[in-house]
Amino acid sequence: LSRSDDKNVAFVELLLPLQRSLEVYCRRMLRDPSHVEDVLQTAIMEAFVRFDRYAEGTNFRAWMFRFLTLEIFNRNRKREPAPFGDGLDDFPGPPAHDWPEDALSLVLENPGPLLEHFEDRVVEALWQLTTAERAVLLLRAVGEFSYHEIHTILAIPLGSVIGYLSRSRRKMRQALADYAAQRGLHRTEGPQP
Amino acid sequence: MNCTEARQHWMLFLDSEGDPELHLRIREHVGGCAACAGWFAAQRVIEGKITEAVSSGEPTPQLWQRVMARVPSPPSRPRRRRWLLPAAALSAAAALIALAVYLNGVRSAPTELSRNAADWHEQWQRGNVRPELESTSDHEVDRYLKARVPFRVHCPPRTDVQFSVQGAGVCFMKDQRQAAYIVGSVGKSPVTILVLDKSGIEGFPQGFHHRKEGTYQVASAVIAENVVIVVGTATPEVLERLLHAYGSYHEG
Repeated sequence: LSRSDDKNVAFVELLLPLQRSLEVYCRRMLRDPSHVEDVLQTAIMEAFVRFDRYAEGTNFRAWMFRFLTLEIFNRNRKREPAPFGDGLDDFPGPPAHDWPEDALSLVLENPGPLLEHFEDRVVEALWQLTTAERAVLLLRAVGEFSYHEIHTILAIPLGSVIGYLSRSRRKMRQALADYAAQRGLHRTEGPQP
Repeated sequence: MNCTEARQHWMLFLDSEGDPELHLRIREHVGGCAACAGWFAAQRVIEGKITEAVSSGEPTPQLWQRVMARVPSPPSRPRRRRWLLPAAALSAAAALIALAVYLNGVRSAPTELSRNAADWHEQWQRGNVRPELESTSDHEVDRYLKARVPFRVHCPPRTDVQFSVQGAGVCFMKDQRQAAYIVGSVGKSPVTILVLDKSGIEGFPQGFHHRKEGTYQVASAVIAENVVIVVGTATPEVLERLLHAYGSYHEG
């Protein structure tokens, strides 16, 4: 096999196991779902062209996700503000833990009704997050990346990774608690309808 | 450390991030505080549910066929017994890289499947690959796999034939079909269990089968809706007992 053939083989072998996570991440991140295929295609070709610079044995998964993330940010640009241009890059303090405890604990006691449409509700809540929050949350959940890997992929400080992750989780929980309240799955303060 | 301090760092704790000393202090506090133990358990459940929901989804075969068609194709190679990434590509960052496994020639089962399963077992034994999930909890492995594959799969409980689980994961075949793997040991003998959806494999014969692949024994069988393959250096009888144990596990 020629060197070029070896490159092709190596690239495809590294890429194939990532198909599921790349596609799920892309679908959850892209504002326009009709662009999924095109974005994946563009990101993969970008990575392939630069595959000579990839150091064998290093983290291909993170390397590939960086190409895809940049392409997604580029594609979402018309519909969302620049993900890290909002002055929020500084570490926003320790992760808050003031969750709506009552709502969540009651949901946990009786999760059945909530779980009935849980996935749809969670996916809906994702779109309430900023691009940066969504990217960090999904890189963690879908890509199963460590904080340090996310810091590398997004090229933002480690403290910002923690900050965005904390905020995204808080918002997701709040959305779920709101949903539980709408469905009467927990007590709410004040007069009941 | 008090409750407020411990809860302030819940995220680092659940994500296994940050200073080990911090983890130790949180663990000590949670160990002695029932309220926090419950609180941390609740966080784990919520995050698990959210993660499960946002990460659900399968690759679309037609989409990937079109995408991959535009990547310059590798030439067909002489048949090689490899369904894993090159060991060199995994060794430096094995813990970070998702297990990348794909099977060749599934339709030539069971011979090819046995061979591939033995190859994977050997790579795992050599330390060239690590499972996606490293866990000694059969419940955790059970939950992990059930959340990731669309077909029936479970982890044999420890009480069955003294199987001790060490980890698990999911791999993709070349035709996009998924397979689940479980690694562990029976007694002191390491074993790999590979579980596939029976409907994805043509012509897999009924009953139990034994093969020898190099230094490994391979036992396989169609069990309910699965094809299950067990590989290890244990005797065929031990591997078959594990297959029986897998088959005798009833799900609610």
